[in-house]
Amino acid sequence: MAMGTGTVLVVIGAGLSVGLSAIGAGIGVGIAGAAASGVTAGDKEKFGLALVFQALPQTQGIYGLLVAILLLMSTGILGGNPVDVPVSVGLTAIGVGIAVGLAGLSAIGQGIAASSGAAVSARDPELMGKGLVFSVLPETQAIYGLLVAILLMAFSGMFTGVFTISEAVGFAAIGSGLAVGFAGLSGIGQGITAGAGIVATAQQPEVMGRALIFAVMSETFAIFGLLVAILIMFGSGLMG
Amino acid sequence: MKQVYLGLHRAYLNELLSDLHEAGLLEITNIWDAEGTLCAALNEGERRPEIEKCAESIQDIATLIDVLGESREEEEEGILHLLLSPRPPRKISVEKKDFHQLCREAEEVMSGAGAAVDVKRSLDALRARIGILHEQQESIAMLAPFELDLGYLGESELLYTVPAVIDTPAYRHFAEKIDKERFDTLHISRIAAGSQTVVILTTVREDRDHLDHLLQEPYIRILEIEPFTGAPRETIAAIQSEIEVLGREERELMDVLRATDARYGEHLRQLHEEVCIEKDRLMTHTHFGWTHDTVVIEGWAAEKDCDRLQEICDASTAGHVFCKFHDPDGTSDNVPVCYDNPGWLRPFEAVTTMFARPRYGEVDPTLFTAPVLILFFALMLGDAVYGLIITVIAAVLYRGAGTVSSTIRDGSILLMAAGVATIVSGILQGGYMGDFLPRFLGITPPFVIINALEEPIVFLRLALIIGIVQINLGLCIAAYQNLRKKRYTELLKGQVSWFFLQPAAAIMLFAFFGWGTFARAVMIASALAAVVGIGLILLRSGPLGFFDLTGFLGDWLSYARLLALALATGGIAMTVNILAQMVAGDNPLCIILAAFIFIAGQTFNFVLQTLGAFIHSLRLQFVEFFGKFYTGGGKEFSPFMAKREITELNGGDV
Repeated sequence: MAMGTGTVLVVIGAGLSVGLSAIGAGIGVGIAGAAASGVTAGDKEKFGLALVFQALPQTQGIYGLLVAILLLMSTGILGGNPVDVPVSVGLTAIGVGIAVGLAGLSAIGQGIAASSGAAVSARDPELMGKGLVFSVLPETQAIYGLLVAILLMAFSGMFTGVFTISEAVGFAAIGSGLAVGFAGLSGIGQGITAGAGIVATAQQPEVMGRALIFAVMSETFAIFGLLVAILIMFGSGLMG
Repeated sequence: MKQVYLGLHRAYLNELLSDLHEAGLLEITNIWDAEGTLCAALNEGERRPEIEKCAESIQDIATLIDVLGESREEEEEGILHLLLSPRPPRKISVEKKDFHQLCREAEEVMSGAGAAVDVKRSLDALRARIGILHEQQESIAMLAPFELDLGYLGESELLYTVPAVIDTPAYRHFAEKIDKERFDTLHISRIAAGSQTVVILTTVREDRDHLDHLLQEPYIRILEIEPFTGAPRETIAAIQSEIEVLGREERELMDVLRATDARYGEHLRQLHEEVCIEKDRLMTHTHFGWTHDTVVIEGWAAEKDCDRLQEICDASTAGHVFCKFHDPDGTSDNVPVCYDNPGWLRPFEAVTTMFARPRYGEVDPTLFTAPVLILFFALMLGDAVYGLIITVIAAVLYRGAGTVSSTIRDGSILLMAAGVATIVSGILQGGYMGDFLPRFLGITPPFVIINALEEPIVFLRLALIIGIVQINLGLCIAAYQNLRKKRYTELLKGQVSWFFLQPAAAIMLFAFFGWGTFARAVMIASALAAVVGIGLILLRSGPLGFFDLTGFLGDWLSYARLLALALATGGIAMTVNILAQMVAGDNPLCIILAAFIFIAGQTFNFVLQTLGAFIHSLRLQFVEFFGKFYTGGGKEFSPFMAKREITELNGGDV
């Protein structure tokens, strides 16, 4: 089957989605895994607990994989009949891949927070719930990335197969992806704060609420990115 | 919660304390911590001398329990057995006893079982000797090839003979070192055995210290042989006979311990618990205020338990008691807090406690958290088969470990509720291990209302509607708390501001994006409301109020995770199905591989998404919802209660 330019662009978008997010998830899982190894070396009974924390930054990789699969399905390369995808939708797919892929780098921050969570929970298993809550904070950026990706896919007709957008709108979609994707890197800063928040909460449980406030501050920039992404979608006519 | 003061004649104290301890309704506080006006008329209580006697008994009994415990051969139960069919602890029925009765009983049991300590000492000595004999056997076995009379080892009238083991690679180095030392007389016999070389060194008696000094190397081990005589093989056989004799003695001593354990073991464990309880009671005496004849006890009790507490006090003292119940000072941080929820809500209290226990006077968020937590979990997991698996696991746990552990019982109830809700949500979303039904069986799932993968925008709208409702619920609770505590300024700036801003912002956004048209008067009113709202927020937080605005928006958009997680569950399950379908072919091997991919992939997805759904549900409660009204940090109500694990007063199984 001869692939059109639009389909090629969608495939590149799928690659960006799974590839970039895998970098984030890989580094995040690695950071958390190092702490998990240390915890298990101290007490092998804590293997299960440490594994849970190590698994947390995997989610960004899963989001990347999910979006890649959805993109491939929208072209019919995977699980369906091949569809003639216009270039405009291919460009949108690149925006989709950038949104999920770059935002997936927030897994690095989640890995930092999860490593603190694993260490603290190993010392006091009652802190596991609190450690998990802090550790999932930096995932919000990845969720914003996924949200923009889904919106781009929905408004460009990838779910219905009815493609009506222009190439200019496709380029605008890349801007949307860049806005939310780069803003998603704030997850790394949030992970550092969340990691310290876990330790602070372990020392003094009543500061949990305040530590959460410190940790969610970094999210402000992710919200800026999300807002701009939505404004681009609206301004370019993607949202009708 | 009520602050409680009890005053009684000291003659009734032991009886009352015992009854209060068993009832577990009162948290006793140290009356001298606060040093209130009442203390001026009271004296401090002295530490009771019986406490030392109790501590001694506890130590003696614990030692005996340890000694006898070694004789017990209990099979270690696996974790699965403990979870699925645990053995419930047997309760021993006991009667109420005073300190002197307990002491007499403890002395009787100790006089019968106390000899076990000496038996254990003999047993330890025996085992140590057997261990030494085994080591001797091993060392002598190394010397067997030399065919040497062991009587020659050690120091004689003229000679000194010492056996040693040297690492073979280091032997050359050792030999060179010996050569350099130029002993007048030194005979070395050696036999290499793999990585080790056994040597016997003989020198004149005068050079003993010199030779010993040379053998102080990390790669040399001197064989310490007791003064045996005869050939090594005969000596090994003799040692073996001695080990067998000692082994028989060891078994006999173990039989004595087992018999003692069978006769006294349970009684000792029961006594240990009873004496510990008695000690806890005696320890409270210093917390009370005393006069010549009366005692004043201070504490806290839940309001619903006050009548029952009064009844207990009257019954224990034949009415010779005064009980005063006061409302606490609402601003005090020292007021303990106990949950007061209906039974069905109790399993969810652990979720609130995970964040922080409510402060006194603060709204307990458990009632609001429980249904929403389950709803979010169900929406995010959204797969009927996964929900069914969770329900089955929860039911098995409930009937298994849940019968002996209240924590596991509560956890299994929570899990069961989440499982059932997920089944319903899965049916409504058409999720059955992703798209298993249509893909493999050609069945279109019935009763589907919304599918996140097919209609993500509709699902997103639903998520954001749920989000704004929950956030506003939080604001309403905060407003209620401020109203109740008459903090009107905080109410105006902290909550009313948002009630102004939200509808105004919604109208202006709808107008801006062209999703709706509004009359000019509505637009002007919206603009005014927005100005008032933002103004109040800036008045409250200053320039940092800007972050309040972005924070609110972030909290709201954070509910998009409901869509993200629902998409992830269905999407990954669908991916697994697609991969399995692609691998499966006519070849049986391919079908096996496809089945493996399907089972492994679905299991992975189930575990990861269940974990994700739970954690993200918690996050939405703790960060987005609690952030609006709840601080927590209350002190746990810790009643004075007898810790009975294996005994039961006037009841039990035995």
